[in-house]
Amino acid sequence: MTFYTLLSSIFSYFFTIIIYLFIFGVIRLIYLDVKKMSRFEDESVNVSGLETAALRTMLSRSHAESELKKRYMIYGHAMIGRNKSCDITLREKYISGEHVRIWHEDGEWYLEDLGSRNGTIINGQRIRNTVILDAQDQITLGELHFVFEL
Amino acid sequence: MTRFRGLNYRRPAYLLMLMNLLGFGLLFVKNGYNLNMLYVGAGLLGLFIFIYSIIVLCNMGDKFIVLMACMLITIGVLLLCRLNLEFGIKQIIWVAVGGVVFFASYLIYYHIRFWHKLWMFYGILGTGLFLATLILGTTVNGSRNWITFGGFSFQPSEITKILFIMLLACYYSGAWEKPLGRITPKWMTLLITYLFIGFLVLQRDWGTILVLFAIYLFMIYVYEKTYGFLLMNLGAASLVAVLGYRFLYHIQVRVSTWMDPWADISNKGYQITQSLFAIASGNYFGRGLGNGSPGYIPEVHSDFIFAAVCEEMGVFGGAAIIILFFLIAYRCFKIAITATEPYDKAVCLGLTLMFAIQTFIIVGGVIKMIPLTGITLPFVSYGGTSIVVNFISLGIIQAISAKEERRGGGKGGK
Amino acid sequence: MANKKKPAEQPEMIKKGYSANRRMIHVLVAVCLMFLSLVTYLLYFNMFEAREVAANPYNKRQWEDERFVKRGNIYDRDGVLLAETVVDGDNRTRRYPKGNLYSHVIGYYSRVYGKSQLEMAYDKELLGHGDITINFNELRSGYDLNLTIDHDLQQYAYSQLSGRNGAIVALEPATGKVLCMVSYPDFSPNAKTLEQNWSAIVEREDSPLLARATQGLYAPGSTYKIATAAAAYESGRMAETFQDTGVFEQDGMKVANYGEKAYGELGLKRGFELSSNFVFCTLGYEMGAQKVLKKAEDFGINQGFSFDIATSKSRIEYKKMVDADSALVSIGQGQLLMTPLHVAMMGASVANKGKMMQPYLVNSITTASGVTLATTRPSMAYQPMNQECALYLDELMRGVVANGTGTGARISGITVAGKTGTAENETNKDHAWFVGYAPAEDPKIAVAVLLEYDGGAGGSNAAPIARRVMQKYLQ
Repeated sequence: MTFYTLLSSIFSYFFTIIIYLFIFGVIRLIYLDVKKMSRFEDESVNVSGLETAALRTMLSRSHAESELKKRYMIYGHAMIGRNKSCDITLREKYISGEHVRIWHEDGEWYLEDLGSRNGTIINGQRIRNTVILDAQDQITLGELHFVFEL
Repeated sequence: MTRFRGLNYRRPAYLLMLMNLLGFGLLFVKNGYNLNMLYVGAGLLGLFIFIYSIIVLCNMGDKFIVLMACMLITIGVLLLCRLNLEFGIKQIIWVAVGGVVFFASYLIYYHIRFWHKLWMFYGILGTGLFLATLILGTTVNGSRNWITFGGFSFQPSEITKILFIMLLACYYSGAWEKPLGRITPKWMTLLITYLFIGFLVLQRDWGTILVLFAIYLFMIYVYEKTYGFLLMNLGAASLVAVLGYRFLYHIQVRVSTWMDPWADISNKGYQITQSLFAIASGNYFGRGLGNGSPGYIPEVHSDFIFAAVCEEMGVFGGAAIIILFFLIAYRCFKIAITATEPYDKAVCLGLTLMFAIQTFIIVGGVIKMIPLTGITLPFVSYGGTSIVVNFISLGIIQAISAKEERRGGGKGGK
Repeated sequence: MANKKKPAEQPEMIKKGYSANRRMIHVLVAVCLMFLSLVTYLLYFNMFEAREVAANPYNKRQWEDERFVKRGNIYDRDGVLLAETVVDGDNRTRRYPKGNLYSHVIGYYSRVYGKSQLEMAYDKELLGHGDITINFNELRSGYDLNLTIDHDLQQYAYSQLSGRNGAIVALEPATGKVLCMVSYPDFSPNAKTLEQNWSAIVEREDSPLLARATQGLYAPGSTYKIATAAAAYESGRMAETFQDTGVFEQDGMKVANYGEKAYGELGLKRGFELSSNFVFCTLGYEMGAQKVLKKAEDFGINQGFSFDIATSKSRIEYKKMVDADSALVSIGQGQLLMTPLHVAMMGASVANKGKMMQPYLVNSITTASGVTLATTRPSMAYQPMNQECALYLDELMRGVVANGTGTGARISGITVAGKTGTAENETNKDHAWFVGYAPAEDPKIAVAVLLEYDGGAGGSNAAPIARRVMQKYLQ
């Protein structure tokens, strides 16, 4: 038995262990990833214990439409804008970095325009300050149209 | 995402690096402390780090598929370097080319949005490649499926696989519904499928025939809501198979060597029995990298590399490869299922099936579970065309997953 | 949502019971099953088929170790060289100095046709597997085997067969050591000659590749009366007398004595000495199938025993054994077949006070430098009878040699015990058998002689051979 044969036979166990640790690591990550995704996507489950509402996307001719979700969930509070740090990121050129804020307080849902350049229109009316939202209100941000749902 | 503690993308990546370090370190010792081995290993590792960091930093969608593909490539390159250093180095160059092609196909697929309109282009290009192969092709191992020009040779059938998938996706995404003359698109796809298969029969490339036809059948199953068309195709396939078995000597030989390779060990059964000897002598943990003699197996660097893996890294190593392919397939299926654009969905499904079926056919063949048909094991086998085409496919799948994540408002990100 | 879908396609997609996603999950399940089947088959192959596949002579890996290892030597019990490897550069030649003599014990060693017998069974030891000393590209020596065989005796036994087809097995009753084991016809185990003559050897009608002593199955004939007598002893029928008419007739079956002699009134002892088929058929018939089969199993028939090289299992093959069958089996005919080695063990068990020892060929394994790695310890395989029974049988067997059918085995000055046999077979030429041991007071050697299709009686043809072998050993 040469030195190399011995070394290599020992290494064969290491290789097996490493490959399976790798597989295990990937499976674990995939599992966590799927779990995480389901928390955001599963609309029936409200994990946060907070009031929920939703913005339903309406079809429009904007070029960004293909990247829109059908419905954005809001758990108690949501910042909406173009920035990645927002709770709901909308990549559309007429939307400001931080465009509006929607939150729940004392049984009411509020919307506040954060000084966006192109403004926010609710049911055809441009707003400048905080308003209370009702179900089925139409919200327009830039060129995107949503319906507020409870 | 602090809520998900331990969601650390780096750990498997570290293990991948460790695998590379140990593997190439061992080969360094084996080759009499040949420094080239270390350079080769460092090159490959650098390549992986580069590709993977770009994917993570640029948030290019799914982060697991490429990682697993890298592990498969590592195993493949380690064995190739051990078999023949020259093959290993060439393979790494191809992986580098593949990496470039990967990003290119990612960007192209991501930004061009009229893929679903190009069915005629795919069909004509595919047919053209086949005709070119028939006219210019050279015969290697009984299959006339190589085109050589200027010292550079490639297998056009690998490329036609992708074209074929994109063509099928055109119809099954619903983007192609205008009949050509009096032939509806459904029959058009059928016609093109059988045309391609006909060309492949002329080239004697049985492996690719199986892959294409299996992809076609699965696509029909997924997209045709009734089973009539599927059954019709299955019927036609079995008829052709029976006729082929009756009249084509090649197919008879393959089936008979599969049933009893021991009857003619030194001739017809040589390849498969040598492969079985290799697997049988590997046991669970293998004889150790460099300790076995995979050199006895013909075509060990391409079609039979799985047997070499089993000999030197054991049945557990072989099973790990199968598991890795399964995980890749699983991730791709998930992307296909969540994809919202029908064309993306269909393309992703097709490419996933391509990986899965190809793996099944060659691994099953090498271990004598099914009759052997020569085809490469994606990412592991030696072969420029195979590596590049697989990277193109990965790039497309990556682009589809990136589109989907970004559509979700960055929610699916890190 | 995206409006790429054409209106025509839309209703089709939404139809109840169909969803592309659900179908995709079906496909995912199918793919999962495909991969699962691959892993399962791979594991199955490794667990149940790999061993056999790897041992195929076409597997060149088996010869790889040879490049670094000088295959171990094989010696007889006194250190006489029986097999060695000659190294000449990269060439390795396996040399058998004793020629054909050990072709059925040590076997052959060919790159084309693989290995047999000890060369196969002790392949790992001969290659020195498990040796973990590290040396750098030096030719390593495998382990040597020291056999229990006495080369002089082996050679003598071989000369006694003098070209007749058959087998001679000699055992040390107390330990189970094989003292000699000869089978004839044989062949040249030299790889080169073997490879040249392979097809001729394989096609020869008298099958020289068959190791008759261990793998040949023969009707034991009257030698099996030892087992029947043991069963009769246990049933307490020693004092009975029989009226021997010369022909046993029962259930439409007729069995005659050898030479169709009618012995008249005689007891069990005399019946044994004269080898009366009438007496033993009657005993077998009356004891019944159950008892006869049980006794056979006590002797290891249908059970087998482990040995250093491959053996055939002695057996009684009846779907449903009836009493008439047991009458035949009791005289060693019918569907009863035994190997010469097993017959020798039967004789040795009487010599060893009823204990049938595990036979063995390899006494010890030593390294090239002479360090003993392992020594085989004698162990009991079966206890077919108790000591009293063995003493009774001893008396019967002494009688056979003293004034029965086995007088041909008599040695002056040494008490010999034995039993003759003349076994009918599918041809009209009987097998001649003799099994015996000596000296009866303190048995040192038990011998079984088989002359295949000899045509003569065991007493006249086989017994003298046994006598000479025993005499040679006891000198």
